[in-house]
Amino acid sequence: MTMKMKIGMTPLQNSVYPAAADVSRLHFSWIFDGISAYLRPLLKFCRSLKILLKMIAVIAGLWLSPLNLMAEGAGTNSAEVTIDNFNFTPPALTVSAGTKVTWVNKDDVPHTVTSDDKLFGSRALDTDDTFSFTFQTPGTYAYYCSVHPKMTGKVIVK
Amino acid sequence: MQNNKKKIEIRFLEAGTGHIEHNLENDGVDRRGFLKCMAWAGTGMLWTISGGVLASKILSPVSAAAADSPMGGFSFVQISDSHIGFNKPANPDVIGTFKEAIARINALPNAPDFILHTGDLSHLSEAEEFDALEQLLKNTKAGKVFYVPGEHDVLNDNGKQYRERFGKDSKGDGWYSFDHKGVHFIGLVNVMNLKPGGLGYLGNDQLEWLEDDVAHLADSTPIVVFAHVPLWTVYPDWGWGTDDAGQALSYLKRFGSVTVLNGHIHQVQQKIEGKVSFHTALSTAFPQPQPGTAPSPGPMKVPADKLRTMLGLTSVNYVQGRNALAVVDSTLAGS
Repeated sequence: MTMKMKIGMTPLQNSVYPAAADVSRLHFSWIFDGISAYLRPLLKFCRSLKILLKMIAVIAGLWLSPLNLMAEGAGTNSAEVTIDNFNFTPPALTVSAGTKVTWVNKDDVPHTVTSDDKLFGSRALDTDDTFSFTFQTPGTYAYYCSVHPKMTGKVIVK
Repeated sequence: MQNNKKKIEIRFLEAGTGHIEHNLENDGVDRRGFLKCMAWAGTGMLWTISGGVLASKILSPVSAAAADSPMGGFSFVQISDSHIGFNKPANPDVIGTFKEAIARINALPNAPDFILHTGDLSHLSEAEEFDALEQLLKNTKAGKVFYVPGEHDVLNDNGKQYRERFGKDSKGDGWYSFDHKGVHFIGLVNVMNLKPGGLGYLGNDQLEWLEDDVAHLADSTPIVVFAHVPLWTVYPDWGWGTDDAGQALSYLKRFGSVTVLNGHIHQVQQKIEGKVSFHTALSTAFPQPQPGTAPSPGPMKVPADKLRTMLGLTSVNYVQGRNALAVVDSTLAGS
């Protein structure tokens, strides 16, 4: 009874239990009949443990699946710059090569993201518009707003 | 009178040497001229510029009947920063306030000879925004409208659409000049090819053109220069200035009267430097904060009942044979 409680059997499982015991009696001799009452909960516990281990394996498998690797990659290889109050925040952003940087304009007036060297550039971004660019090559990329050139920023790619 | 004084708020930026002198006695405007200016200003501040001395008077509303007979000069109106397409607080109806500005122009006792629009016609350079503005301006009594682009008019296409619609006879990015009744008008473009970290920019091509354009003029020719971004440094931290304006102004030094009319900052700021007087106009769309009073420039959110006290237009009067242009700002508030 104590063991049953330990492995967390519910009353519903309890009600099924006698039927399973009947089946096992057909396969085991009477000698074991006495101790089987003690073994059954143990076997049940082992089965539960097996299921648990399988579940852990499945979860681990999912975790390591290619799909998950992609999702995880997007998590670490993307970054955001906010345009607010005529400022790029952060003004200097450091990322690893392959990172996709997204700018989002939170101002009531249009701004652009324009590379000093014309390597990348957005159209005019109205409120809540975004622009993204993926930086593949290490280096420092200075940019500004071509509408309000006092607004400057840079992306440092390691 | 006291009440009217409260209605108008005009502030100065005393930048560097820009000390402003008030000379109420010897202001270069006679009674006739003063009454005339009062008539078309409605409620406003009268600015007269003569021999490098700036004088100011608060004006009270005067009925058209009180105005003296027209003088030998002419008048024109400056409107600016209509931002057609803007729809956020504090003004979701920029077309409505633009119509009010046109109504005020049409109500002037003497129709102005023309209108100058000093840029930011549109908010996002969209075709339908330009369409709306053109349609609205067809309702003015003033004959022609002259334009210069603001940075909002040249988005995404380097100003191609703007020039096709509003700058057909212009040169380069849209600059040009014309003469009207003895005054030489110069429209400049300082919102193109802006440099990272910089201010407004004219560029060498335009500067060379300007030098040639004024070379043949007599020193006594009154000059009016209009451009979107101020041609004097109002507040560089917010980009309110033009990097190579000094070069442009050096070509105008020899002239006895130079009036520079700008927009962009959506508020009245004035400065006088030698024989050059600088003036920025109100917007018809939304106000912007005074320099340094907010984290950044941009649309200022003001209560609905205050909005029209911060929007308006500018009337300019030229008196023939006089080195004076009267520049009068009036708001959309009041009758």
